[in-house]
Amino acid sequence: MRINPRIINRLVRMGLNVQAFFTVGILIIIIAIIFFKGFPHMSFAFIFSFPEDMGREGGIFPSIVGTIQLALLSILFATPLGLGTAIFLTEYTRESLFTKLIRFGVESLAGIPSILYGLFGFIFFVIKLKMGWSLLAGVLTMTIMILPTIIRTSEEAIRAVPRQLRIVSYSLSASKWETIKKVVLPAAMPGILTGIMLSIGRAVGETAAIIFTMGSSLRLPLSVMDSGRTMAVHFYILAREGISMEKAYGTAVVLVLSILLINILAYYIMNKAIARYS
Amino acid sequence: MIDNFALRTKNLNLYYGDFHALKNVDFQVYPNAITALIGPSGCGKSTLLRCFNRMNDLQDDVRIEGEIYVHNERLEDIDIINLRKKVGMVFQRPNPFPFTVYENMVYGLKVHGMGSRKTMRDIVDRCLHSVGLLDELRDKLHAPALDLSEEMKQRLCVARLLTVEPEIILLDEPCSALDPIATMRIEELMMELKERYTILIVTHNMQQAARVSDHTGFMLLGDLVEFGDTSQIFTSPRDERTEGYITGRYG
Repeated sequence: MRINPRIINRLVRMGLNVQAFFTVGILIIIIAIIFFKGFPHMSFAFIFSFPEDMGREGGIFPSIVGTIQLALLSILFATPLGLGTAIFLTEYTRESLFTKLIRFGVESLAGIPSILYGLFGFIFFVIKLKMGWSLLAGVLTMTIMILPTIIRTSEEAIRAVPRQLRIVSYSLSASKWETIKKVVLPAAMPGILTGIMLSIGRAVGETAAIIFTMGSSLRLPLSVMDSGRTMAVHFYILAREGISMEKAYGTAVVLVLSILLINILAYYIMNKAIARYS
Repeated sequence: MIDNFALRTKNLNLYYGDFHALKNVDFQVYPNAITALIGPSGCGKSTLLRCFNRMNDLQDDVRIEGEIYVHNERLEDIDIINLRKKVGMVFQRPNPFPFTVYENMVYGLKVHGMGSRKTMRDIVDRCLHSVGLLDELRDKLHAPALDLSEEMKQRLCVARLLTVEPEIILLDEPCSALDPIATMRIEELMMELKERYTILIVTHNMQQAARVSDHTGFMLLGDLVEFGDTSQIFTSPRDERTEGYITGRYG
């Protein structure tokens, strides 16, 4: 017996709708729970004051600063390195065993669980290089962690720039580097920015790798050699050690809000870049 | 004897790997004139054109033998940056950069470090005027170049090229992506430009060659079969292969 295609069509459509709603629904539920539980504990003082009694009382100011420091410095280190690698892979080499090896390395780096990065950072940066638990050790570990994302997204973006544009640039007697700098990179900018934004999100949300390298001190990191904690770590410790679920949810609200803010900012920048370059 | 050719080749052979794409080509382009290269697809006319600004270098596995001269200077003796400044090119498909009109126009100037903001603006205006775009684009300099019509894009590409003050302009089937009216207007533009520039155009459109060019070369399978005044080529070709092509027997 043949089922009426119109009925199948309707069923498929319904199924897809359900799936889409399910995805969005999960996000909404998570955010709703966090806001419901955490919002009452949010206040101006909570954001701008120091924690007291291990975080049982007071605010989360140092961990907000620590999060920003970690994310910004990691991006500052990883972007030139990752973008340079991507430019090298796309513009300055031919496909060979060597590039395959680099790409394989990048993919492998991307697949390593973050706890292993933490362990590596602890053994290498904290102990071997005698950095101690410090912002610097955290930043370097985070840099290695987000490097694959930046390399992959930049590489894709650069590869997507039409070859014709490079040829025109050469025909206007631009050199290779000028072509890359003035044509290829601007045209690839939306994609590169996407990678950077994803990486910021990863740095902001990371815990395992950070506890091992940046430590979990409650003070405000004033130099790169100071230890500190990010909001995600603060949340983890408050919840894990049962210090204060109220403060934990309060922290989670700030964390979620900042990630939303970063995403909105990313969309804004990308839309501007796309409007300009396409 | 001093030749007065803008471009010329002697015994030029070009190979793509094992494929012999240009065979003993002796060819010349007169200054301040339009020279057309015609012939069926794959005959080597674009390849020959691309020899003069060394665009073939961008491809792998290309081998070139023979002599090429630009204004009586051997091609090898000219620095590639200077060569491409002197010998500019407009491509088959209009290919503005995905930036604004103004940024497209100043790209070459910036690459060459030419001029202050004020002189750049003057050069942009002058070159847009040369291609008949100034009135239309004066208020749209900061609009994306990709929003223009195909014809305007191609004009913009010509204008962008003019900013670096080339002496010779290579046109590689510049109208093949345009409609007939746009084609006619680009042809008018070529006629105006030949007062100041030397033009070499590759076209698969024989009427176009007949309309705009002063000299025509007919190529077939890598050979330059015949070269002469356009009127002679089209009215009394000496080679029967040329006659066969222009009367539409093949190609």
